[in-house]
Amino acid sequence: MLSWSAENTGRIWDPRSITDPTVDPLLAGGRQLVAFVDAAHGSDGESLVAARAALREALGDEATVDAAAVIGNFNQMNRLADATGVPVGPGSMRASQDLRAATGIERFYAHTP
Amino acid sequence: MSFNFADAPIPIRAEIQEAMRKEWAFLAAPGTWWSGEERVQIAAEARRAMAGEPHGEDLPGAAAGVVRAVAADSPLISAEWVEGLAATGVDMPAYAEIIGVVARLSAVDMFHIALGMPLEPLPSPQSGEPSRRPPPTDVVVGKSFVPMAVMVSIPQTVSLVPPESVAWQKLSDAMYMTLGEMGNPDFRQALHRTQMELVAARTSQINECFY
Repeated sequence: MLSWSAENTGRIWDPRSITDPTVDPLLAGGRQLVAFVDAAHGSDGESLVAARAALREALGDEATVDAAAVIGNFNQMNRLADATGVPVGPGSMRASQDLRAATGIERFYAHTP
Repeated sequence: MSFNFADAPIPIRAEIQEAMRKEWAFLAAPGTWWSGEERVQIAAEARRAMAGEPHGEDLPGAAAGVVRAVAADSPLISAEWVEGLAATGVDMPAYAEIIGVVARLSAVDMFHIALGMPLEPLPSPQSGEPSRRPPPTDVVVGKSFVPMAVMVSIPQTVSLVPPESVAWQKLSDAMYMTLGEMGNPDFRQALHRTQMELVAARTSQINECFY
């Protein structure tokens, strides 16, 4: 969905940022968004406070709430997918071929019955 | 009133507040295969698992183990593991309802954690019996661990228990976007669609979820 959205709106981004937080996503506030996601899933409360403050500074309060909501929603989606073993459809697999190669996320694909 | 965000460090959209209040009411009510009391116990066990705490004493051992796997141990879940659940007393529709309850709890709790807010206390369960409404008969078997109605896809993941499907989509509508909005690559709220998808992709990477 990320590559689809970027391609269809002419946005330039670096897919390696999904798996390597040292890579600049090349999106507005991208580094702060990635750092916020990482801190929200970590156990260091001070890092989360700092990441949230940096995101608020970069993109504002409403964007920070949106980011928290997407984090929450994808924790839900990830559990729905993993617990039910829903496979990625062939069309999506073809469309994501380059992205999978760039990010190395292929290793997570263990859930096809 | 649950989800009083008056003291939140950042103003929370009313749409999210309303969706979470509805989710808490739905969680507390008798479900399709679990009572309201059991559904709140499932949520409590999931919360303990996600926090790395030992399991509680409320749910039967097998059910508690299932809840903990869905909440915090997805590598344990395989086709064989799911097929073996019936022998433990958790049949497929009951498993689908557990998935729905746990998944939505994770959405609500991670939102609070990310914004530095204390977790919302779980609701008081409502009395009453589960509806035991039979699952749909038009299901696809064998393409996923859990049979799904009509077709195998993310929107249908817990369609064996239709109220669970409705509940997660309502929460997702408020926290992410509606199915209709997903067709718009230029969709934006405070974040543009591409920024939202970056957050989604990074979250899924951390959770090691391929989908």
